[in-house]
Amino acid sequence: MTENQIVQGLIKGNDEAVEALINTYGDKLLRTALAITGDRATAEEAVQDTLLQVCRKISSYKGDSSLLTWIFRININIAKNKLRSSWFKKVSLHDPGEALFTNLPFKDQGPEENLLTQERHNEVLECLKILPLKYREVVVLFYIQELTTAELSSILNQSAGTIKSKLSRGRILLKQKLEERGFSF
Amino acid sequence: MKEFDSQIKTYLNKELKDVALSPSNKEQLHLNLTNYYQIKKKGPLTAFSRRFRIFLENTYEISLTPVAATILVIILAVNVSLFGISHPPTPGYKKDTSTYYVQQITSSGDSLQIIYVPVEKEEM
Repeated sequence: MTENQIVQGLIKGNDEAVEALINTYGDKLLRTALAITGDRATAEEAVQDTLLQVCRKISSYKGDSSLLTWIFRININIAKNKLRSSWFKKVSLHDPGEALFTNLPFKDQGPEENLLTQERHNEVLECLKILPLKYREVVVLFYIQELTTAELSSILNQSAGTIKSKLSRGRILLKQKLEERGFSF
Repeated sequence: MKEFDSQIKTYLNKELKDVALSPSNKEQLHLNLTNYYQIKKKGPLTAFSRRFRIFLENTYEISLTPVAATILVIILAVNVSLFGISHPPTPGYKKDTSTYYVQQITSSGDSLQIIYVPVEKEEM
């Protein structure tokens, strides 16, 4: 289904449009929410809240940006609100010492190489999680979703100059943190 | 910085490449979203009576038809709006009266009880 068909279908409450919405955007939203919150359960909740909000507010989507941009805007705000909620701070089950992702074998690597690669990737994600939120959201969308600064500007409702400045600062901080952990670039 | 960008992208994308909604996640999402549309079409009373019916079934194993649940919700709503929900007076002035209630602790056999005793304003 095209974006326009999904939008029209959601306005009418069409079952196929709902399915297309979940299949097209669900995984992307999960990756972004996970990189921002660092907690799988919270990220899944954020995805559910995002898609529900999309269905509620679809009539207000004017088409001045892509549907993906509009949905990401909602997703980022919901993920950030969840991070800020006092409930999340009290009951987040993620132990900082624990790997965020486990049991993701990589093809063409032996078990030892797999473990080393896994550890390196978890170090990257841990460093990402330590970044202040205002830099993390920009870095996550730039590297994981590979969005342009114009798209970032639209999603985060900030000027292109602010986005570039945050991206630059975020990258420097991330690089510093990674170098402290033994990475070299 | 270009090499850094390229390496970070590789790490993050490789790490998150396999992160996806499970089939049960997707099924639950689909259910919740279609539920939202049903509620939207049929109205809040139907939505509430549906939730009430599910609550009775899950908590007390009482099965009601949708019509019976709706009638029960209406009866409860009318009762609450006509008679309110009674609760013990709390310390302070009662609404629209000049009666002030104070807490007193009394013993009744082996147990202690908290009672509320009205005190006239002049006595305070």
